[in-house]
Amino acid sequence: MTDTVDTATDQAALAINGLEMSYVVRGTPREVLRGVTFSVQPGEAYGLVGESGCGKSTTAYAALRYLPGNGLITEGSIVADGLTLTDMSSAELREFRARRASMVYQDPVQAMNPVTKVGDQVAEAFTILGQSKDQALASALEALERVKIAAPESVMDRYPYQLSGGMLQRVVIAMALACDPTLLVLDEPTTGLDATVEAEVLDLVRDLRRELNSAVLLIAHNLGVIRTMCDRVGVMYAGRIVEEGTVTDVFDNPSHPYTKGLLNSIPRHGIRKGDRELFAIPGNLPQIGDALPTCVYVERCPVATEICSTEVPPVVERTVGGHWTRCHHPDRIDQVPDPEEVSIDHTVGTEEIIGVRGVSKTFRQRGNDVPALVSIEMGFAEGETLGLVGESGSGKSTLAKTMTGVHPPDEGGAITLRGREMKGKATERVEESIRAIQMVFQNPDSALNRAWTVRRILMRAVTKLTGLKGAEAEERAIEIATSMRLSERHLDMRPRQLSGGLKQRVAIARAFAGDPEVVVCDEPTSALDVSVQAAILNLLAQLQREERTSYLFISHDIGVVRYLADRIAVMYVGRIMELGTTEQLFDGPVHPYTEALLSAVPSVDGTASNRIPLEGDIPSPANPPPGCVFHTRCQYVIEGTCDVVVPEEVDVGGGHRILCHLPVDQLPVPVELTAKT
Amino acid sequence: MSDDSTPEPVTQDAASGAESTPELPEVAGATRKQIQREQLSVLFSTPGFIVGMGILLFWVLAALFPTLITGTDPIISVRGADGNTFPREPPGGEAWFGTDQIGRDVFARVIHGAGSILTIAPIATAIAIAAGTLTGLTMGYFLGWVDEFLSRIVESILSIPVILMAILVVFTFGETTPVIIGTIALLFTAPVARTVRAATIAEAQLDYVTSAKMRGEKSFFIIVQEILPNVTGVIVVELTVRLGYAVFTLATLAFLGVSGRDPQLPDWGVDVAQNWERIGADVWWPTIFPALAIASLVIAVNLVADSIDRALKS
Repeated sequence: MTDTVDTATDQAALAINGLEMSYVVRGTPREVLRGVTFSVQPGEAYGLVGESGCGKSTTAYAALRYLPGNGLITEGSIVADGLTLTDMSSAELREFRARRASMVYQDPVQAMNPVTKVGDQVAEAFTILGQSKDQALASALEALERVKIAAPESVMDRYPYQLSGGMLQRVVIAMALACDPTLLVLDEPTTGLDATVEAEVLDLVRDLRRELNSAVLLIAHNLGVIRTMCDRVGVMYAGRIVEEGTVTDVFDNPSHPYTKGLLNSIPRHGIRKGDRELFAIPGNLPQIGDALPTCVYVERCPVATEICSTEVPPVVERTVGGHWTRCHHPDRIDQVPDPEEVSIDHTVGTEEIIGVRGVSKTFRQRGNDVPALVSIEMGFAEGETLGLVGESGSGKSTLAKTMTGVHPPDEGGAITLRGREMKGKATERVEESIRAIQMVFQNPDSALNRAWTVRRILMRAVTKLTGLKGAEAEERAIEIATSMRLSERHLDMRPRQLSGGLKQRVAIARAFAGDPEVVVCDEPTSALDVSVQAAILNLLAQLQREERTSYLFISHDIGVVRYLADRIAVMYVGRIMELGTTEQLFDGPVHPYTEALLSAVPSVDGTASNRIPLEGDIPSPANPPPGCVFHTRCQYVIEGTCDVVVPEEVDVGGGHRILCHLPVDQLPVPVELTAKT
Repeated sequence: MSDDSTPEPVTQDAASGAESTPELPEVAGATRKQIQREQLSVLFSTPGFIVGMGILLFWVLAALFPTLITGTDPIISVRGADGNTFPREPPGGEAWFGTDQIGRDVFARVIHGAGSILTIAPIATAIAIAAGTLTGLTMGYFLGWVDEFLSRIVESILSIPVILMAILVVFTFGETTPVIIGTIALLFTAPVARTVRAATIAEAQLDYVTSAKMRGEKSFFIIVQEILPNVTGVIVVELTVRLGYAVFTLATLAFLGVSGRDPQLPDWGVDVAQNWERIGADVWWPTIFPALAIASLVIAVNLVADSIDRALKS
């Protein structure tokens, strides 16, 4: 982003002009793009952001005219590199996609053929360009070297399932670059990856862009990713771009009420739940197919007037640098209310409610013992949030499932409720223990029974967890639903009729049905859009204030954990590497792993100048490294100690526990990206 | 949220002004009724569905009220005013589909033949679906040794050719209609169980099942109340597929002479079996018309099944 790119070419790599598109759903065409116009210059990176359903992925696919069978372009043109895609025959389109443009999809696992060796698959991209088999294999090796994959020769001979997600995404990028594309479309390329891997892949794309001078169209819902990767950004809403400009202009000086709302809804600048609530954009995205002869955002806009619901707003220039907004009232942007800073009282109790005492969990896999959790030690006070972070595969979800009694822990460990030991399995636990620990899952689509109505889901939980029956249970179910801001109308609906945020509210309501002591939240907002995430986080914080509930809050989003958590535990290969209060963790000193984890997060507030690279993959718990499990990836590794001796836990002050050999004064201090303003 | 907590949820954050109080966010997507209506309209504009449904309704009508369609008796040979029979009369004139070896009206036999096949096939299919669903749910939910044990049984049934198995069973237990129904039901239970098992395994991995386990629900409740309503889609598809196969299998058994019925009675499979040798002598009509009837019924069932499947996915 900091590089100056050559945009002074008269021919854009991609120019989309007034594109209108519909999907035919159940026989009716429904409008999804309502006049999208933007262009990407050669060598430029252009980002599209917006909430799910706003049409950003459709635009990405349309850029290569790569549309599903029910997609219908009704108006407008797509011009790439001087060629009009909208007029091409299918043979010409194939040729165009083979030689001039490439696309990288969200899920690298699905983008690869599982039964073909990686080398052959990459080589295929070159044989299409007319190379001989041997030539193509040589080019494939070169391509893999270019994407800086570790041990490219051995990767050539492996099958996709033998590679990690991050490596696969590198392979997919290598294939995409085979034809030296003038246009590279990336559709949420890092969404399924861990923050540490995401940072690596983003670094790679940034380096390659410098090398190739190809235009990049990047689709992402993560504003931080767009900020660190792109030169210019378009903010999409309901099939229209509502604001466009350089990333600095748009993110630091938003000019459309929607952009402003979006930015206010993420926890930025290190704010905490005690500082203020997050801003949630009221209402919902219009449905695809809704007629919108108006400003698309009018229904949710705090500064809308009469004209906004009768006329399509004009494009208003904000700066000469090409920063514009599509708004009737660009002068009223300052009237969009800023979230107020008020201090909200969050007191944490002193009594320990749930204790996790030396809990280990070993799975048996094909005759081998796989220690997924190794002597976990932690406790929850009343009304406290314990944040749990770590890469995927570190054992976060296993810990959640062990606490809730889905898997019983190994002999020797215990989970205690107010000092009394609980049974390992949920079916063997007494009613009181079942009621005390409930869980909110990551994906509400999976967590709610599709065949049940909301009323039945809540009634069942109430009956089972409180013993209330009939009318009393129904009364209680309605009461919880109301406190989750669900109306009675919603009670008779089935989950698929509800939006993602509403579904998650139902799931939270179910967890709270029996007045629990601890609610385990396993990435409860990662499947949601940021504006909805804000509302859910506010709800969780409010419930905690009122009910004195404790949370085990698992998340990969450091900003979110920082906002909600009182204390944070960092997990790696089934072990707690560090545990301390949120202040202790962000002020340091911290464990070297924590330092790397914190620095990997792409932030919407700015770019990290000194990111600590975390190379390679997280080791498998089946085969943990000797000594300190982190020594294979640690930049401070002490030869002869870290790879031999298992470190002891050190208290660096105030109950801040770190599992590391480094003397306290040599422990790193995390890079502060998101300083409080 | 104990009873003494404040029931009014909003008040506190009104002061902060930050929380925008998502005012009962609107419902996502079209309502259930709307979706159903649109799916129905897609269904009724699919040519395959209309044609298939037309054929199917015709055969159902023939099975229920054959005499509405033809006044001719299917068993007694047609006789002229002089009392003569007209064997091997080609199609046309009085007998639309011609007459067979002993002068019976082929059209009347085809129409009256619908009854037996349209009774036996649906009953056998229904039993197979019920038994297969129960077995499949049990296997897919418990897995482990229960699944191992039942899987071996299912596999052993699947490994024996259907017709061979049917002939063996019918010869052992006697050639009666209940035995035929039972045989086909048993044979079709295996593939239904296998399909439902796969769907159940996928469902059982979803978090709502985990959540039910965390509430301490009994396995029976989870299987019947939580999982079953979510696998009805595959069961409906399996039902239509198996119905087509059942028609086919019944006709084949009748052709092989194990119909469980008096060969005098009209039956498509039996009629094909009794007449096919004469195709060589250019008497094709007593064979081709019942054969076409079998084909049309199987195709109709498949057309309807395909269209429903596609409408549900549109």
